[in-house]
Amino acid sequence: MLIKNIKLENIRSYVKEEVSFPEGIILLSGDIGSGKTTLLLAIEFALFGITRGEVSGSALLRNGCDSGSVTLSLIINNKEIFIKRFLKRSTIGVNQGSCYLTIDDVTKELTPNELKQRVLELLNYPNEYLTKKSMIYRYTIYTPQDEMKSILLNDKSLRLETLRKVFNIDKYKRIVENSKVLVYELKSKKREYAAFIYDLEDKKVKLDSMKSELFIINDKLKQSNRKLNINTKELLDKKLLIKAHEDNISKLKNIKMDIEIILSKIKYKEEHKNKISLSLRDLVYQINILSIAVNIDFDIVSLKNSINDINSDILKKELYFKDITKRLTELSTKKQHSESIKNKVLTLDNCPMCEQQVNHNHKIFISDRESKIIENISNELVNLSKSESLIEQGIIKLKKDLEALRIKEKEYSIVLLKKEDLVNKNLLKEQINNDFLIIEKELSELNSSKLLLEKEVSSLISIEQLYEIEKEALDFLQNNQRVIEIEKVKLEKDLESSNRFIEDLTLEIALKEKKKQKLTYYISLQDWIEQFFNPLMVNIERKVMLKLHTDFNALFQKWFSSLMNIDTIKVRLDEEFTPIIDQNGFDTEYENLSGGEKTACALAYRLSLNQIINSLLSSINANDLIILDEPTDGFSSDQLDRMRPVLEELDMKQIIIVSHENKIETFADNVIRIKKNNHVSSIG
Amino acid sequence: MKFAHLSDCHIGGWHEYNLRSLNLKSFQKAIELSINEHVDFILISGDLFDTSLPSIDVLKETAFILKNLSNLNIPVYLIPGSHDFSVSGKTMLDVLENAGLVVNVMKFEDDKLKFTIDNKTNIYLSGFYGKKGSLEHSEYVDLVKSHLEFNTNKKIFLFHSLIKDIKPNYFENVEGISISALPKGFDYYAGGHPHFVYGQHHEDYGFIAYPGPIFPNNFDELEKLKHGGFFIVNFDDKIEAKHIALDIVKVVSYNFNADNKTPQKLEQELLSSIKDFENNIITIRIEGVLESGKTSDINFKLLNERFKSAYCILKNTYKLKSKEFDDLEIDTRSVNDIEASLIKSSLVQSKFSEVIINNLVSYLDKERFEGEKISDFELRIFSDIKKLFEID
Repeated sequence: MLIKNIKLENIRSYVKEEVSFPEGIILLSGDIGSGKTTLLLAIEFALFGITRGEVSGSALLRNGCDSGSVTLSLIINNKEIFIKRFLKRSTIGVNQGSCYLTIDDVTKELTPNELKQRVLELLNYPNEYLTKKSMIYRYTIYTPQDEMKSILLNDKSLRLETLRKVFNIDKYKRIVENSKVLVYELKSKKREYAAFIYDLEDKKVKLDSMKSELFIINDKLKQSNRKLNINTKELLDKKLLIKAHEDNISKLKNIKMDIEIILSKIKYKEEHKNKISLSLRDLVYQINILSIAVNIDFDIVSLKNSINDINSDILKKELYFKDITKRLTELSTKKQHSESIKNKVLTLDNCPMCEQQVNHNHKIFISDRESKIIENISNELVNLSKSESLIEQGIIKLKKDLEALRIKEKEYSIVLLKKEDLVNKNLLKEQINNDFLIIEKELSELNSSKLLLEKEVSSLISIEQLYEIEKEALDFLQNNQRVIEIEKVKLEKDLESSNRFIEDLTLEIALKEKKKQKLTYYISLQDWIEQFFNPLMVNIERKVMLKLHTDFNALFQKWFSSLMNIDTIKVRLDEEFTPIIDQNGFDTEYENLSGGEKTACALAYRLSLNQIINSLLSSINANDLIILDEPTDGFSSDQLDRMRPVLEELDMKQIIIVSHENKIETFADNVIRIKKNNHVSSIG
Repeated sequence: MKFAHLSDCHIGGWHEYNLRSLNLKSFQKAIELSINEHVDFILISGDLFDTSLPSIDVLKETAFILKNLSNLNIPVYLIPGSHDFSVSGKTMLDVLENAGLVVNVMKFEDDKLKFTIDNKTNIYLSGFYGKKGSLEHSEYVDLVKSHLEFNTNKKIFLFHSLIKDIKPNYFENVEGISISALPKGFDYYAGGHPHFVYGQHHEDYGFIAYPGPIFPNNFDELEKLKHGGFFIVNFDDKIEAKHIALDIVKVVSYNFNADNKTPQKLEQELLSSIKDFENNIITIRIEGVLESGKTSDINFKLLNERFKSAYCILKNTYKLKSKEFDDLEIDTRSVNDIEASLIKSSLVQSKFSEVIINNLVSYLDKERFEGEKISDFELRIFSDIKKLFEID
């Protein structure tokens, strides 16, 4: 930032004045009270407005005037910027009016605070310094004359606090301080979680005990299952045994029934045997009778031949008879036909076939022909009737002969039947004999079976007793089974409830473990904050402080040495940036220095501070300007001479010096002379 | 024949009010003793004053003493020293010389040093000044000495430079001229500038003497020398130089080691250890590293209150450091780099990453807004950190 021009209207001793500031070393020269410092205050007012405790409106507005203004023209980054601020007097005091900011020929009306904010942005002060703007401006660009030495004379803790803020070292203290918020929260969480997990170990013990119990229950359940299996098996075995007994009892019954059946069969067989014996006796008798009856000679072959011969003759005669009968029928038919024709033809006029008229001759011819046929047929009919009668008689006789033979043949058949009957009876007799033998065998077998069954019955006779015993045993086992099953169900219920309890407890422990992990994490986080992070911040602060102290101290010593150029007084800064004056090798106070030495010390401090802050905030757009208000108060001529190289070494584009020392003029590039006549300051 | 050889009076040298008068008192006493010894003249080998333009008070007192000598016809021969010489020629010595109170023996004729002859004793005197920063060393090279050496009268050469051939060990880092830079053949070489006492004959040269300051000129010298002094030199056939101590005020020195002590403990030690203080100059040198706190935590004002009957109490705390400033190497990097580097180098011991640390730094680097409630501010801080550390 470079100051290019300032216009003042009714500001302190100025009524209306315009001052241009070229680059280089500019001396604002004039008598004490001529209005030099007013220009510097006006610049500060234009930049930041009214600042409580530093730049007041009533101190700026010219007495007796109701309004005033300052228009400041600046160069920031080669761009010209215009700022205009107004002051207005009211019944309650002097206040700022609207402000104007012109950049690139664009003018914006802003509130005083908005303008201040914009200026801070234009100067590129870091955000963390925004609340300290005035401090930085006053520590870097412009320090009013009366504040130069007060920096050193102020309470050292206040100075240190101010410097810490300006250097932003406070950041680390602030971080450590703010970390307490985190630590507080962590402590609170720790308390909460500690309360939550206080019974974790008890719960774990409980879980272990529950698991042991569960183990025991499981064990009991296994035993119970084992018992149940054994009992079930025994029960099954017993049931099978009982079933076997029941089968045997049933079998015994069956055997007894079988014996009964066998006994009835034996009885039946005995009766049958007796019957067969009687039948056999009858049969032998009949056989004897038949054997006598069939003892006759008979020529059945010749009889059979005679019968066959007669039958053959009869058949022949009957065939011949049939032929004659048939012939007689045919001849009668023919005779009737011829008689019909003969009768018809005589009455017939037209032929039924060709419908032609039948003549009489033809009718006679036909009648004659038919009469001859009738005659012939009548002759043959008489002959054939005679033959027929003869044949008929022959057949009757043959049939009588055949009847006699057939009787004889029937007699022979009866004998034959008797013979057959005899054979059959002999066969029957044989069969009955066989049956008898079979029955006897069967009886024998039945008796044997009966004996076997009776033997078996005797072997099964104790089965029912055993059955009763086993039945009792089964009842016992069934009771036992019920008891075991009840016990098992109870154990299973216990197991289920234990499992559920363990499951719930495990979940609860898992949650508590998670919280415990969090608690451990919070403890370690708090530990990390307190043991690592905060010491790290303190260490960084120390290092940064040392760095700033070292740089500041070196610059302070350099500038002091440049301004004083004597060996007997040396300066250094203590840890709290308080200048320690080493005079002739011993420590002395700033107050013990002469006026020029004090000024040199204050100026050296001021220049060092300016350089430190400018190097710290290298990006700010306010590091090529410095305003020095009466920087050489009490300087000797030699010291004034030394100001030239000091100012040159500052290497600033614009240095505005307020001084009433004429000697400064010799190395100023430009001199702005200010005079005051009749309470009005003017340039000239 | 007898003369007094003084050097490095540094009148007006101390800024401390009490001590400032001691240079003058020492000078006064040296002059009184010299008068009592009936010296023929007095030599001052540079640095009569601490600056070329001393204050009026100092000048007035000095002139009074010199005037007394003048009245007694005891001439004072001197040369400008590194403190009271002025390149511009604006030195009060000229005023005194013009007033006839002293004679500057560094006078040239045809660019050559010439002799000043003491009329009373016919001693030939010449000398060469000392300049700030020992700038006179190079001028010795061009100094024409032969005419001085050829003079066979009894002669004294005043000079204000350290001769490196005879400098004590603790001056090893201080540049000096070679003895050969001095003109040979003088009977007495009245030296000044180095603050130590020396007097010895050197072959080809003569008696070379450094009387040291008339009063210790700084804290170190108070500790080391305790007092100033000067030579009374019998300058007859044999040169006898007697060093006269100027015990104006007794100097008692105390050294304290602050290592592993708190400021309070050190304070107590200071108060309990210093015994012999009545009307004495007490020098207190404190070195070492405080176990805790800052050096400024030591209330040195208590010393002044407790030992207010001391002539004065001087302390040197140059090598007193606080622990926080001691075990750190000076870092030449920027502040931001220091922060980044310290965070990075600390990572081996950290359970959290650099990113987390940097985030935490940024989250905690917050200030309460104007009007913001503390609870809101804390909530604002905590809300970011909560996410960062996955706090429930």
